[in-house]
Amino acid sequence: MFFVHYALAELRRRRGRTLLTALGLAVGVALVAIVTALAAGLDRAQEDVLAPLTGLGTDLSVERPVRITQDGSRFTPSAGGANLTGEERDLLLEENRAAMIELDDLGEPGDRFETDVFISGTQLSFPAARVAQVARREGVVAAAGGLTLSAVHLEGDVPEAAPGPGGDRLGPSAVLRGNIDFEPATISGVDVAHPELGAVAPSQISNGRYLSERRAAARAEVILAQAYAQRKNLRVGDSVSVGGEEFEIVGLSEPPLGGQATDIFVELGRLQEAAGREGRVNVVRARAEDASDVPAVAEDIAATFPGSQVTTASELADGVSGSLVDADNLARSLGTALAIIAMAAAVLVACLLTLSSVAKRTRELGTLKALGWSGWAVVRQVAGESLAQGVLGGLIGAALGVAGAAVITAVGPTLSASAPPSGPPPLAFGQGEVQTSAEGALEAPIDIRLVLLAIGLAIAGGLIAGAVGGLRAARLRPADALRHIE
Amino acid sequence: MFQLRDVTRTYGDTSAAVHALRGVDLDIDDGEMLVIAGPSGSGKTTVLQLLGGLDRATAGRVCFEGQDLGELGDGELTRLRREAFGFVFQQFNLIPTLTAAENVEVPLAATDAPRAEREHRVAELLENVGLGDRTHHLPGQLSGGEQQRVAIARALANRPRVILADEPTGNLDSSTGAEVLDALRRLNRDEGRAVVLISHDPSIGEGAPRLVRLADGRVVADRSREGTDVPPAPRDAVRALAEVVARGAERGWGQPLGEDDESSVRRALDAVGHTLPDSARQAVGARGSLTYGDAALVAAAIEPRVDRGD
Repeated sequence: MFFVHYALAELRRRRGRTLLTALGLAVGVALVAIVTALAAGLDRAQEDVLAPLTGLGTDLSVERPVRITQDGSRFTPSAGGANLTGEERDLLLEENRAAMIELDDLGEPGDRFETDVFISGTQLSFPAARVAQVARREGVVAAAGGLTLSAVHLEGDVPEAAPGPGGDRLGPSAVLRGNIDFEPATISGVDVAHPELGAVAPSQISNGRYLSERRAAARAEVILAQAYAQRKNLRVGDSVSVGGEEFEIVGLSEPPLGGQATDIFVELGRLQEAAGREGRVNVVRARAEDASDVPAVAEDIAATFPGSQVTTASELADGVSGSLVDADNLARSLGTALAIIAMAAAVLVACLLTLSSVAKRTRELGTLKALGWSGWAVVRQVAGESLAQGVLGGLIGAALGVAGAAVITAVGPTLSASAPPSGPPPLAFGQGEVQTSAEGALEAPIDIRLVLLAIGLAIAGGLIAGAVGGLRAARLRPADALRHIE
Repeated sequence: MFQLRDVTRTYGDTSAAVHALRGVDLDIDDGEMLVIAGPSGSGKTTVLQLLGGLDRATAGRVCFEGQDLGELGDGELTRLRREAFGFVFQQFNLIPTLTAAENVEVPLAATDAPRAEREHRVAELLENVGLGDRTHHLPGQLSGGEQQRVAIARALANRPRVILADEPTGNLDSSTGAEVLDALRRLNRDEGRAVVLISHDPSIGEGAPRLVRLADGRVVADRSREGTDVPPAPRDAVRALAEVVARGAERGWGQPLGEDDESSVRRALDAVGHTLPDSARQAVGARGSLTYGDAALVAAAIEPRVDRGD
């Protein structure tokens, strides 16, 4: 206790120097705390904003997009598939055969007609058995199939057949000639046994509920994207006709950031039946056992299924940019560097002040040695005083850090994130109305571990300074120290 | 208790070396009270520091109770300082933030003594030096004499076998200084502790049982060992010698004496040379031409009031 009392008495005597040292450490510690809290806040904000992209429980998705041609150009409808290989053109035609409606099937020219067609676009389907194959892969915990199609509702009078090849089909020219309304929508089939791996996740439901867990019950249910429902003036509880069948709207979903535009979500089996694609899916979503397994699993699946494209959640998240990402990067690079420099400078200042203090107390420390204090006892005394300064600096620094974080949270600058617009091939994470940017208020959360870390850093700084000063004091030769003129 | 043999202490390197001690021989017995006197720069404090294990000799041997201090490690010297030596300093060297009681406790804090025992010992010591009612006073709240008494109590805390006091009255008025000296004499007489006291105050040396004079790093007089007092020198010889020493302070101690100055020193030597200790006679007589340093050596041996003035 004598040492503690002596240390506290000395710190009180040199109050200004004590406060200066403690404040130096406090500033360093506060910066570390604020930057760490800021980084945590940015992580949280990014997580929130990216949740629709990466938080659906899907680690990777397997699709079979139309392959991009060798010259790198992508499929465009206007090119009519001219840049596809013959095999792929056949596959694409097969997938979209439903769109080739014979006018004769609609009735006589001038008759009123109403029909729904489902087309795949550039997303080729494959047997649902692949879902089970993916689920069996090592490192995969669960897998679910999905089917996303474009549903086009056509309504109007049957036009006259135009002369020439293909003129008896309902094509763009026929639509233009006739009095026909068409209304496209995107529809996704969801495996209700794996809602977390569906095109819409339960967490996205903003109104109403998710599809029933039982397939039989879910077959008559539909979830609509908020924007679609608004456009159609539909509410939960209303009925909606899809493919000539009536569905009850059980829920509305929030749009995810990025992802493919999907307006309507129904039970997978029901969509397969309605679209004439029984037993087929065009996406498999899977969850890996461990995040670190994802790349290996993705590689394994890609190698197993030729022609498939495996996209991981992190690849998708990498495409996100905006002030949120910029701030996160800034906090991680510049902020961390700043915090390290500030902490190092604070420790350096503490060391210099401790050395200066030792120099000023040369005679006193020499007297202690003359009176029989060992070098270790002198080190302990100087280090103890420095440690106390470290504790004080840690407490002040933690308080400053908490206050700084609170100010940031209170001010809450708005940060935005944006994802690259989806296009063919469609992104499989998150469906619904495409949202290419999102905003969120920045918070800087402080938790007790951060406060303890801050205090720990200051104490470590104090100990380093104390050790430096103490060793210097311990090396003093008593005779030289006693000759020292103060 | 102490034996110093041909002890040399040199500070600095060869180009700017300061020879604080040049071959000092000295014996100090158990329970002896000894005053080491001499002008400033004569090496008094250096001798005290070597005796107390605060410094190490450049050459020669400093032995305490048969142990050569030069052969002991820092830890062993620390233990000796803690257990065998008590130090009293001219500036008191009290820790300003600690009370009188806490200052006395400082040496005990370095030991394993239980707190209760330490507190009892501190109270006893302060009572013995007449400061029983000042235990909670800070040094700044005490007079110079009280502070030095606290320092003496501190020096006694670990029941040392020898007290080493460096100019303990140097910062005190004469009456307070006398009280402090009296306290040290009582410690020597009543408790049998050896006391080695440094002073340039001639009155202190005159009353001491044994007086050792140093000049220019050498022992030039050891009254009890020589068995005789230094006789009064002829007044005119002393005056002339003082003038030579004053010139030496200006010209440098290593400079050879001028012709007149040398005859002044020779006259003084003729008058009292036979009373000088062997070491001083040998030092002065060894060379044909004398320097101002030799003049100072002779002057210190003859009359302590003849100071080199540095």
